[in-house]
Amino acid sequence: MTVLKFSLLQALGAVMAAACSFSPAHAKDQSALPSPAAAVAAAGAAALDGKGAAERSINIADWLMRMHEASRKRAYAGTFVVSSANYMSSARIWHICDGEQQMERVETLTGAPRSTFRRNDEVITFNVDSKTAVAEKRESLRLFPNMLLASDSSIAQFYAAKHAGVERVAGIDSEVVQLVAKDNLRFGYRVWSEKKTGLVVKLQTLDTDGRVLEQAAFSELQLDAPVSMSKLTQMMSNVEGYKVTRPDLVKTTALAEGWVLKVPVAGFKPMNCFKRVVNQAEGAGAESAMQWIFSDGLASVSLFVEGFDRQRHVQEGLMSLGATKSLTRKLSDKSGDKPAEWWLTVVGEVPAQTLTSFSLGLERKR
Amino acid sequence: MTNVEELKNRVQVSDLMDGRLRASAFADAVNLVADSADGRAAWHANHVIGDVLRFGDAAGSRADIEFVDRFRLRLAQMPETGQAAVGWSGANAASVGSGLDQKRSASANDSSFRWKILSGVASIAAVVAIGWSALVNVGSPGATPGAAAQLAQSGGAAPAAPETQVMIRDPHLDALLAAHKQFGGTSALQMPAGFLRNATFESPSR
Repeated sequence: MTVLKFSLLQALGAVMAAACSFSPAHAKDQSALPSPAAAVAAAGAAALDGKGAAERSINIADWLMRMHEASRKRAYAGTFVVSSANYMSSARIWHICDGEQQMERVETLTGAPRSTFRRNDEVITFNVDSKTAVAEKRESLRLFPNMLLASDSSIAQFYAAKHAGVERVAGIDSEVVQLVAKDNLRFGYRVWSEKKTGLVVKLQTLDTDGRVLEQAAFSELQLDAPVSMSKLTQMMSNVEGYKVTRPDLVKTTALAEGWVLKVPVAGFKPMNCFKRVVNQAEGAGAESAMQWIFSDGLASVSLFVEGFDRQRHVQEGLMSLGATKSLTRKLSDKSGDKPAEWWLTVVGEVPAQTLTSFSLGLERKR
Repeated sequence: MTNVEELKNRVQVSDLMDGRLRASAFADAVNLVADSADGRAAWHANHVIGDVLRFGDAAGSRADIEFVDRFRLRLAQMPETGQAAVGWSGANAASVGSGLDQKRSASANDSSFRWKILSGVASIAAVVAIGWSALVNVGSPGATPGAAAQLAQSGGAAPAAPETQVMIRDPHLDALLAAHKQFGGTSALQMPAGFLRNATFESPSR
């Protein structure tokens, strides 16, 4: 019997341009950043001086900032392959950016056929089989680079970046940078970025022992591909034959919903909080859940709290899907006249113990 | 027929369906299905399992439904032995520690936690299903008031988990995961890769 659900894809890490610099940090002052050309030159010099570069650490905020900046003027098309212990999948990607507007198109090559288009923070996903499309605004896509520039950015406090050599990926000479977590509450990363332009061509998520949990890499990449923004715009707006829906999302605060994180998890800051309708599988209806989102700058965690349902919420436990872990737990408050019960689901690309810390720190406001 | 023979026959039929058998082993399995009621029952059962895994439920007769109920019950009752699974490796994730209560809930397989596939029960399923790997079952809600404390005690460095081979398909969890993925961009590293990741990601239940 063939594999029935070969669907779990993770990730495309295509992206951004990274030109590694080994100069002192100016993370909080965007104007002080070296020009991309200077960064490229620095990266090139470091590559020539391979041994020295391999031993030198990198200012992480500078490095991330340049990745972000450099991505704004790139066009490329490629095939991306994502794999973990249990699954492998791929997608075709087109990306164009004119300095102001970014557009992307992602066509899945495995699993159910699906096309996703993005114009800045506007996203629409076409599910070909069901003839449905989901249109949404993703506020999180606008968070950067402001988050990196914020004075309280603490990425460098919890991660160290170091140059890890030069390798070829998809025929492209790339520099390797390793992001090492400074504690056991987050995973590490290894990032391959194209030497000349800084485009990320491969990304690995590493567990606390340094083993690869997930990998996303271009198997083929055409830089400066002739991607047409007008054509992508036209395709994105053509919803004929599709039933378009928009996620039911209401912005709120955890406090307003009656929840506090009594014991913060080191490095993770609250980013956003929503009340949302979570669509169930076909026929199972839908329900409302609070989603409280945390991030340490590189990893993110969502806390979902919903009313406890004895029929559906049966098993507490920890689960794993590649680099993504989840924890489910029942919460009770017996202090009031009427005992109340909730079901907590914590999901994130973090070690299991981080999810545990979140689950134990969450309390009902009294 | 002894239980051992019965189990052996089931495994043989499962291997036949998986396309693992060649030559005489293949012929023997075909004969088993053709000539024995037990073999046919195993053949039928594996098809029902396949239907459930593909479509979430058995589309067949009342007998199928009864079989599914029995299958669920047996899965729920099986002790978690941590035995190796068939054919493929599980998650490389860390567990939260060794002191956790790994007791299985008796009602583990409901509409949310529909299937837990254990080695030896449905080898066919192990190569078919891709879903969440259970790392640790804390226990059933309400039944384990000490779970939180146990989790707290396990807050230290997490050892690499032995590859726990329990696969779970949970549409609700997938829906929450999809919601989480929408905010994958809450990462400097994955901007805008987070978007691409979300766009490419497809949860197991879809």
